[in-house]
Amino acid sequence: MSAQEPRLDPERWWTRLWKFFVALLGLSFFIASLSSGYLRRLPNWEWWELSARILFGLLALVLAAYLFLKRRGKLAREEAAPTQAAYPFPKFLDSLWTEGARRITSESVEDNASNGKKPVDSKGTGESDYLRPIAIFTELIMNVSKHRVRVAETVDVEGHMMVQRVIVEFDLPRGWEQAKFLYLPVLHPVKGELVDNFHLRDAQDSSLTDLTYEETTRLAAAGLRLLMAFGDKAVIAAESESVVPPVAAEASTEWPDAAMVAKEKDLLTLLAMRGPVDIEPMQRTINEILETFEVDDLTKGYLRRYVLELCGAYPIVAVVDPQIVAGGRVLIKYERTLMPASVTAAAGSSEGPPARSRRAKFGVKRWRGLMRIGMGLRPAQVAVPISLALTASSYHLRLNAPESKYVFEQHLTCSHCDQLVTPSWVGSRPGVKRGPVGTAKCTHKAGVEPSAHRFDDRHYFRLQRRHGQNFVHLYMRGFGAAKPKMHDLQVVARFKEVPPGSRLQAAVTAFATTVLVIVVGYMVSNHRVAPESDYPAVILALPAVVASWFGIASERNALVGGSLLARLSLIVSGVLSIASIVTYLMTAPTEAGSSPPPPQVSLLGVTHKAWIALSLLSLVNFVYIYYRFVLKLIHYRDLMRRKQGHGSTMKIA
Amino acid sequence: MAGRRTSASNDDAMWVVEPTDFVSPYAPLSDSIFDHEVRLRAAWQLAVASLERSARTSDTPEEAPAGGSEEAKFLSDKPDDSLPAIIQKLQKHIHDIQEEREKADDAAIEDDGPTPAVEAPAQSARRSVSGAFGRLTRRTPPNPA
Repeated sequence: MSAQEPRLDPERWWTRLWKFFVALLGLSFFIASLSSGYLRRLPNWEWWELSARILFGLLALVLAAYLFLKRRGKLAREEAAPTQAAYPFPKFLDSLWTEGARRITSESVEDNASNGKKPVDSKGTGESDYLRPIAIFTELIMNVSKHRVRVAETVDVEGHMMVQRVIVEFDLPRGWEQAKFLYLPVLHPVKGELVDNFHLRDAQDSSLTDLTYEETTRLAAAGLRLLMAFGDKAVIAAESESVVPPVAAEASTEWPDAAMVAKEKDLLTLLAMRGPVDIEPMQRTINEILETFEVDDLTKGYLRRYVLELCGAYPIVAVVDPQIVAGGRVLIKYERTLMPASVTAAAGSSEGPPARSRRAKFGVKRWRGLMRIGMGLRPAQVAVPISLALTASSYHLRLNAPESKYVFEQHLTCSHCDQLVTPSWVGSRPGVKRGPVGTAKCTHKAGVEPSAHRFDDRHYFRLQRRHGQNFVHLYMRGFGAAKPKMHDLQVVARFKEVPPGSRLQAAVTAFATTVLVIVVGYMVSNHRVAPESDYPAVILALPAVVASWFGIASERNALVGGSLLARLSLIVSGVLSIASIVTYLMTAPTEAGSSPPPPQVSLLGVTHKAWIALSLLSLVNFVYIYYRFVLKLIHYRDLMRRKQGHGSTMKIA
Repeated sequence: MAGRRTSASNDDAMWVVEPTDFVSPYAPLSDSIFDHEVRLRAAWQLAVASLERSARTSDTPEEAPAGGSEEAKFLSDKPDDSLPAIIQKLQKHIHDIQEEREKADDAAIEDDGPTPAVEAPAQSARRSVSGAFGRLTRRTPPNPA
C-alpha cells in the first residue's frame, strides 16, 4: 500500500457513475430488444412488440455510440504536451561565449585547458590544431549538398519496424590534410525530434564517436566566432598580406566591440535554442539581427546560412580520424529506427495529406483503409520522404520489402498534392497555390519540358523498372543544387504478395466452402440425408475453421500487410460456412422415407431456396477470388518477363 | 502523354514516415570559405586573439556592453537568482538543516526523551527549493523576434 493515497476527485467519480448508469441502461435496452412476449396483452401485440424491439435496439445503439465516442475522445486527449521552443539561460550563453569558443585558443589537442596561453603556432604553420576542424565543420554546415557528394539510403520494412541505413560520402574541402581530426556533421535532425537506435560507423563498420549536445553547441559557437571575424578586420589583415599573430592581435584590441558582442550573443541565442523552430520567422529574425551588422556582404551571407542551418537542427557530429580519408573522400554510415504512422484516407485531414483526404471524402475507397485496419491487416503502402536527396549531389534510395512481397506500384510524388513528379518540375517558393491541383504548401511548379535534343543540366531522377522485385530503387541527382529546392517529395510504394500468397489460400477455402454447401444443399433438397444426422453440420464447419486459421496465421512479423481481398474472401467463406450450418440444422429432415420434391427451379440439383442462395453466394465468392488470383498471377508473370531496358528514363514505371 | 497517370490517387491505408531531417533552403554556394584562405587565417587569428583577451578579462568583474540590443543587455545581466547562486544557497540551507537534525538527535540521546520531529525543516527546505525554482522559471526569456 502506498504511503500516499490517491486524492478522490468528486467530478471524476460522478463521471464514472454516469457512464456506469448509461452502460446499464444500454444493456437493459439491448436485452429488451432481444426479448418478446411482454406486450401480448395489447391488441395487435405483434406490431407493437416489433416496434418496441426496434426502438429498444436503436436506443441501445445510441447509448453504445455515446459511450464509445466519449471514451475515444478521452483516449485521443491522452497525449504529451507539445514541445515548445525554449531559449537558453543567459548563464549558458555566457559559457558558450567564453568557455565554448575558448577551446579554439588552445595550441593543440593536448592543450585545450584554456589556461590563457597565447595561441602560438605549434606546427610552424601559423595556426592551431583547431582551425581546420572548425573551419571544415563550418564549411560542411553552410555548404551541405556540395560536400555530401553521394548519399545512399536503405529503408528496410522487413520486421515490425522500419530501419534506415544511410551511407554518406563526403568530399572534404581542401585543408583536411592539415587537420589532426575532423568534425563531420552527418545528420541534421530537426530540433525536438528524437533519433532512435542511432549507430554511427565508418567504412570498416567501426563505431565512431559523436559529440554531445553541449559539445556541438560549443563547436557551433566557435564556428560562429570564426565567421564573425571574417569581416572587415580580417579583410584588412588579409589585404596587408600579413597574417602573423601580432598583426591580428593588434587588430583584436578593437574587435569585437560591444555592439558586435551583443549581435553575437543574439545569434548564439538562436543557435542554442531547444525544441522545434519555425524556419520562416527564424529567417526574419536572423535578417533583422544582421541588418545593422556592419560587415561585408560575404560575411553576412555566411552568417545567415550558418545560423539558420544550426537553429533549425541539432547536427549529429562525428569525430573522425583523417587517416580514414582518401583523396578528400570519406565514407560515414549511420543507422536509426524510423517510426511510421499508419494513415488512412478516411481518418480525416488531420493525419493524411489534404488532397488525399479530400478526394476520398465521397468515394467508396474512403472505407478501404479503415476496413484494412479493422480487419487486422497492416497497410500495404509505404510513403518515405526523400529529404536526404536535397542534401546531396547524388542520391540513391532503396526501399526493401519482405521477400514475400513484390512492388506493385511506385511513384515519386509531392506529399502535399499527390501529383507525380515530372522532369519538367522546378522548385518554387511556397505560399501560392499553383494550378488546380497544387496546394499552398507545394514547392514545385511546371517548367519547360526537357528535350532530347538540347543540353540540360537540371535535376534528374529515375526509378528502377518493376521486374517483380521486392524493392524500390530511386536515383536522384541535382535536387540538392536546385534553386529554389523542391521540398516534401516522397516515394510511395505499394506492395503485393508474391503469388500464390494468401489469395490462393482464400481461393481454396472458397472452393471447399462452395463444394460442401452445394453437396449438402443437394442432399437436403433430395432428402438424401439420414435423419438426425450431424455429419453434414460438422463437415460444413471445416471451411470456417480453415478460414479462421489462415486469417490468424497470415499477418505475423510483417510491417507490410497482405491482401485485403483475400481477407474479405476468407471472412465471406467463414460466414457462409456458419450460415450453412444454421440452415442445415433448421432445414434437415427429421423423418426418413420422404419422397423427393417435384421438379422445380434448381441450381446444380439444389432446389431448396435457402440452399440455392447459399450456393450462389459461395459460388460468386469462389469465382471472384479465383479470377483475381489468376489476374495477379498473370500480372506477376508479365513483370518477371520484362526485359531490363533503359527506355524508362524519367518514366514512372 | 495520353492515358498516363498524373497523380497517386490511392486512398488505401499507408505507412507514412514523416520527414525528421532539416533541409537547408539554400542552394550550394559557388565558393567556400576555403576559397578565401588568407582571409580565413586572418579571421582565425582575430578570433583567437579576441577570445584570449576575453579570457584575460574574465577574472575581473565584467562590465555590461555599452551598446547593443535589449537582448544583449538582458543576457549580460547577472541577477542574484542565477542557478549557481541558488544551488549554493540550497546547499547551505541543507547543510544547516542537517546540522540542526544532528544537534536535535544528540539532545534527544542526552535527554533520553522523544526524538524531535524533523518534518518541519524538511518542509522548509522543500518550500525553499520550490520558491527558488519558481523565481527561476518566472523569468521571461528574451524573445529575439
